[in-house]
Amino acid sequence: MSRVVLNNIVKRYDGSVAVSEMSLDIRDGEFVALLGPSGCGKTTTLRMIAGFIEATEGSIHFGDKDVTNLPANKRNTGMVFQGFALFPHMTVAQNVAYGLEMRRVPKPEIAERVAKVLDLVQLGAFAGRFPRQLSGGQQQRVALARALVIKPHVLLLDEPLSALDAKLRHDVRIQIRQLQQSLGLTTVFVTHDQEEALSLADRLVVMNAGRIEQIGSPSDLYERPASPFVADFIGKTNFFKGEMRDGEFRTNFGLSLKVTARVPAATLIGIRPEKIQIRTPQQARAADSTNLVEGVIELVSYLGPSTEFRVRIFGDRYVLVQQPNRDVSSALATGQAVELVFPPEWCFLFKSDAASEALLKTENFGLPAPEAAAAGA
Amino acid sequence: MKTARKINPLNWAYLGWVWLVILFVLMPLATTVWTAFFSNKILSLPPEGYTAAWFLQAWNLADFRNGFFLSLQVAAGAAALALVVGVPAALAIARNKFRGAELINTILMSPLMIPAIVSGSAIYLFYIEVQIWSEVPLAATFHGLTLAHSLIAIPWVLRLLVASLSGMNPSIEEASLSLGASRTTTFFRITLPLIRPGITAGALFGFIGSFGDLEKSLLLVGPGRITLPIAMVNYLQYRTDPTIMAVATIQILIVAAALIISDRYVRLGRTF
Repeated sequence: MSRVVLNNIVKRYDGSVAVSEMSLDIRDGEFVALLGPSGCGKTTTLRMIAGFIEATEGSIHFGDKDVTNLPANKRNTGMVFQGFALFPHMTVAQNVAYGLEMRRVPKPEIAERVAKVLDLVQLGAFAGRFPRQLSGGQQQRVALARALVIKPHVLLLDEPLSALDAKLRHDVRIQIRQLQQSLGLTTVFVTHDQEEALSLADRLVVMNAGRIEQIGSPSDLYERPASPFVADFIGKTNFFKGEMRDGEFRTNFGLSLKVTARVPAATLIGIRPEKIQIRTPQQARAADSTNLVEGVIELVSYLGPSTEFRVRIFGDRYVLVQQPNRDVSSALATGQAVELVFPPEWCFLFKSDAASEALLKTENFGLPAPEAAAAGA
Repeated sequence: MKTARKINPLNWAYLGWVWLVILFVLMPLATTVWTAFFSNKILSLPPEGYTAAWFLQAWNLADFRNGFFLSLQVAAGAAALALVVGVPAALAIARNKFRGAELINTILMSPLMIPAIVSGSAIYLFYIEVQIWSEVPLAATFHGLTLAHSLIAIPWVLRLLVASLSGMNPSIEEASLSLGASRTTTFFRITLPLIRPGITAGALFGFIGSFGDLEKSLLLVGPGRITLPIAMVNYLQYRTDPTIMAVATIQILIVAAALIISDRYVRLGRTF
């Protein structure tokens, strides 16, 4: 009923490609997040679905209907903009009623539906207020109500939470998700905040430079990233360069790691900070010494729910290790000698390419410390 | 807690300077209104007494009466024309959707760069040429005069409207479209109400500019017609009594009234 299908969508501007070969099949009622850094094409894609930008190539279908050539005002989408875009000269109720007026819904029905949706977002008492009299979170809910009341084919959200402060962002995103689920609305959500995307989406589409890097469920993308970009963009990952030798991965500084993944020509290994086990030599258990690495804690960052350790290994490399504060022992302080375990099943293997090279230049996990790098390590 | 209050000589100097500037700006206005009520037969200080007779005198002089009405009509027409040209132009320029935007902007603002008497003469010559070629009378006509005056008003409308539009969130119009409104509906229900301050301010200042114009009118007004500024200049050639100040006072009152009335409806303060 409210399926959204993008077929080989391409958007070209003179000389540059904003979106290339984007194909996406969004199921009825699914919540899909488009995630990526600024300029990756996620907003362009959303605006093409909305109809504000014309695709250079490809087609867009809502259900069985081809909407590729339909103007924005004929597509029956419900869009929530980044700055809310409420009509400042109209009251909350008038704002919400606008879409229904455009659809020539009879007045009594408009009043009823507006009242219902305002109750849904808990703004019933604010119907007569003007946007400038509302807080950011309230304006956000009005924008949402305005998009929902018209019963759109698909709900489009363009970084709707970026204008809110951190605490509010968390609460509002839960409200959005609950509303979306109870209404069963197909939704496309654009964000550059991976925590938002992970927590809200049924499926995530990670984009980079106009291309899709990976599509999958949040856990798929987090536990099984398809590329170094995804491994780094979602969560954090320690990377080491090297090559496969005798079934093990040997880093370019001499560390040999057993791995369970099968990527014969891998030149890059990655492991997430929270997957690395850290303990003092006194706590070492004889049984578990696969991929044991010795190191020294250089920096301890207390994050609240967890603690992050920057550990120097092999003299001039460092890794980030994260531990929940349930288990952390006070013996893990700066300067402490520690043993790290890199569980083979959590080691990602990648073939490095131009994109990952660029990535590793800006991130220096697992690479020599800046002073050594300057010396050309 | 005790707060030390230092008498800073620099502060006083600054304050003194500010007041000096304010007085300097207000002085012509204040002097005009004040001297309009002098009973001296020749404009001079000190006042011999006070009277309102000069206002009656001004009204009785046909030149002033006719000039007043013609200036009013021309200014209204010029403002209206400026809106017809300026509003679409401002919308196109502010959205910057097309390649000629900067050029159009410069062309429409160009009357500001030309001294009024020069443009007045040029327009006159142009009108004569068009008349010869098309038999349509332009010079020394009401519509010709209004057309020329619209060149005064257009830059005002354009500048104030483009400024007002730049401050408007473009997503608002997109929101209207996404909710199903046509471009026309969006314009009338969303854009127009939001740019009303800019439009009103632009029309108002265009009106004021046209009302006060002397140079263009001198060349284009034609025999039998007179605008208020021309009437005032003519009067001053032979008389220097306070009648002229009375006329000026009326003009000040009209403009002030227009500003106050528009401000009640449109909150002009928000345009600037």
